[in-house]
Amino acid sequence: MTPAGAPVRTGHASGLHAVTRELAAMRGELLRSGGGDQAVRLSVLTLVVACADTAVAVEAVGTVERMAGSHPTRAIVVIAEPDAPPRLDADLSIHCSAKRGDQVCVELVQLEVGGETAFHLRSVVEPLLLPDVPVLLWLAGAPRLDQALSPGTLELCERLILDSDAYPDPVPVLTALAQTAAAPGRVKPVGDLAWSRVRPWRELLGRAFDTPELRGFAQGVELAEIQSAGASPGAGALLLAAWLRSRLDRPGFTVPEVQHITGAGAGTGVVGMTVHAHRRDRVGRVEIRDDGGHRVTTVTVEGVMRGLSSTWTVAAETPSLAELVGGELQEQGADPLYAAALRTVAAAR
Amino acid sequence: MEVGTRAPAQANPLREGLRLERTPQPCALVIFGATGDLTKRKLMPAVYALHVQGLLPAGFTVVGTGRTALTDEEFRAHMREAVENFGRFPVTDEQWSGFAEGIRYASVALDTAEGLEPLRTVLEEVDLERGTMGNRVYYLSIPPSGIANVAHRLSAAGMSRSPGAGGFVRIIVEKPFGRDLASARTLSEDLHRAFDEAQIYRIDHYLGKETVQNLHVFRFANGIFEPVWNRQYVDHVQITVAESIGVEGRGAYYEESGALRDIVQNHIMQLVALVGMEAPADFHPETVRDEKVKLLRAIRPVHPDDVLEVTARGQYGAGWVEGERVPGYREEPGVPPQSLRETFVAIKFDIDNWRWADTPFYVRTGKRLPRRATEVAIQFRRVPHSPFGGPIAAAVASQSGGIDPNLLVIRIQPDEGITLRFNAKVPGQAMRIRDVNMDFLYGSSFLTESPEAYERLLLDCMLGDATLFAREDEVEEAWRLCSAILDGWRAHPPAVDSLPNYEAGTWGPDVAHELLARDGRAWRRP
Repeated sequence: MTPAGAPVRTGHASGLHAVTRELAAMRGELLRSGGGDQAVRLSVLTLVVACADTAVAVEAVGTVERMAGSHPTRAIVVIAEPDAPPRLDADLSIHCSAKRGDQVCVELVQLEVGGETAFHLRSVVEPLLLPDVPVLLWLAGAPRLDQALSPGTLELCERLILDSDAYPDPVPVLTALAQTAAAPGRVKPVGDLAWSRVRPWRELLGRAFDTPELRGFAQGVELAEIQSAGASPGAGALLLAAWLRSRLDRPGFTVPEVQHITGAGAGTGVVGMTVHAHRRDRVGRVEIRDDGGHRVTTVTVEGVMRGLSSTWTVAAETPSLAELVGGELQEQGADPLYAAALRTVAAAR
Repeated sequence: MEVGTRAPAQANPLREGLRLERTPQPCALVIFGATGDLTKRKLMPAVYALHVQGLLPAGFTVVGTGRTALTDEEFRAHMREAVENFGRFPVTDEQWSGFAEGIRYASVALDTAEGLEPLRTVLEEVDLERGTMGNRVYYLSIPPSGIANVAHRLSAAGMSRSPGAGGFVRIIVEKPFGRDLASARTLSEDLHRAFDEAQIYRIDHYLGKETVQNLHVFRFANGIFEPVWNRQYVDHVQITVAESIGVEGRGAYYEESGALRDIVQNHIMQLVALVGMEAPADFHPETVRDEKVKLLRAIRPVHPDDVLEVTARGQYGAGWVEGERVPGYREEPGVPPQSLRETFVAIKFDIDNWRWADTPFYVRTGKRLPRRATEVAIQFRRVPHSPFGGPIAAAVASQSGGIDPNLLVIRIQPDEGITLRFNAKVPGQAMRIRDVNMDFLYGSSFLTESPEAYERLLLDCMLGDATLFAREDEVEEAWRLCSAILDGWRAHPPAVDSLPNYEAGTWGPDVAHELLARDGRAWRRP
């Protein structure tokens, strides 16, 4: 991820008309200055970032700036302050970085909305959207979902990005998302950063069952233990468990029992998993655990013949927030596996 | 038994929906010609990139072979240097140490019956130590004259057959696949004595390029192009594979092959097939390749008497390319001073089917052209009637020779992307019309780096997916067309003093321009 340098253009405006005028002027100026050889690549999508407070907004702005080199985006970072005096102020900036001779640019609009208008953000955001490009809504931090998932908000965007890991009690959040996904006509694909964080675990486990030792064992997965840091399983651990159960919930397969083991180390998130499976009279086990910057997978099979075992190590992927959000910007459509995992979480409640 | 991609491998629902739905089984990649240039520049960097991305199976091992005696350590050091120089991922000690454990070397002699014994010993050790279970991919990075011999030796040593149910032994061979139809058939027969067709992977690295794969997606994942992708809307198609380099010290090799064998028979015929084929019902390797073969079969072979009307040959003389003075082909080392070998070829192909009747495909390739560019240009028909008549039309015509037809260009390299050209009104009081471009640039819509062609192809081979490899009948159909041209040329050799007929740094000989001018058309400048 190429971080953007200092902004190449900045501006400030108050009131929506002034903001749109200033934005168009800056954009036109930049395109003209590009000149002959050096093409300027501007936004291929609009990213609307809804922030509950200033601290979240500062982090979101930093993330957008770090994505500048890889994702030409118009980012509208909105802080709504209904209790503040009525106002609509915007700081505008364009950040560019060189990529193979071209300039890739992010247009950043930081919008502070005070007073009653803060309840009508859609009317503020809509005029600022770029024509003909997808709109993504990122609910930064851990905002209340009952507002965020309102029909008006969902109509605005093609895709919703959020982080269910950010909520201290993730089960109601995942259940609400499952209901949203099931509501007819309102289905918006959700990019959940918690789901992206567990993807490497899914890959390692999927790969383990492709090894010659464990081929065919996926049908007989009986028990999985998911170890996570923190006092209770986070959204990632819950989704991982639900994914495993939903994947194996099919004819001829055993739906495994999943146990959560919490308090395994500091921080949050999944730190290890052990899966037990059998095939005929053989017993197989996959153990994946974090080991410093690595993830070690051990596969063992015991049974009639001499025992088999193999181990491999990969570098642990710990993507930054900018990488996670950037990854979501490249996605289109819903992930049916995520939807199935959500349903499983909701059904277990 | 070869496991095709459709065979129900034992179900693993845990891999569904992930980046790569199957991992290859543990296997050994045995490289013949491991001290050669291709191994250094392409193969090892590709294997290392797969390793860094976590796409290789546990236990994967590379076994280099060659005549030179090297220890494992020496070979590893050579390979590390190669990956550092030519790889797209930086080499770290940490990544390398894990990778290097899976690199071995065996010195072999291909002229004796026992010459492969050292390789067998190493492979048996690898099977025991790394669990590769007899799975092999042999990569033949050797001159074409040696292919049949290696296949024969492997077969005689009992090393060419699959180790048992579910396991595999595959062989990758590089182009050229023969030098005409007869020798291509002989080569296939030689290979078939040792390997089944399903075990043979004929590699054409063009097919591994992202933009070439995107041709399928562009045509068959978009609803708006397919309805106009036919004789009713397309005037003609131009395919250009232009190189700015010369023969690069390989004069003796090039003197034997020439542009037709080097580029047209493989790369260009593949592009023709991909642009012209019907939509496959699915993306299974055999379905896709069946459709390509059908298209190749529909191409009318050039009759030897017509060869001078529908083809153009060229050879470059001295000139200036990219700011540097370069010698002519006949002055290159290894080239006889009276050589008649073509370094440029242009061909008009007619396709006798409902989609393309009377819509020619013009193809050209050459060395020492002004720039390196590979592209496919679909030239659409002109508007049937222009309403912009009167004095304005005269003004337009005087500037641009009338309203230009629409053009769709698929650029394969460099600047991978797609351009659609259409006409727009020039702002102002007068009705002036100019063509403008709508550009899609791979590099700006997808800022992730594309994998190298060899990465994709090696992984596909390990997975048993042959979609992007040429099948025997594809190769033979392409040769059927090229051999007919070679026969015609042999009957009509150029006069010694008619060559060279184009200056280095120009777009080929006059005869190539006449080829299109006869049809009232012109080559575009890529």
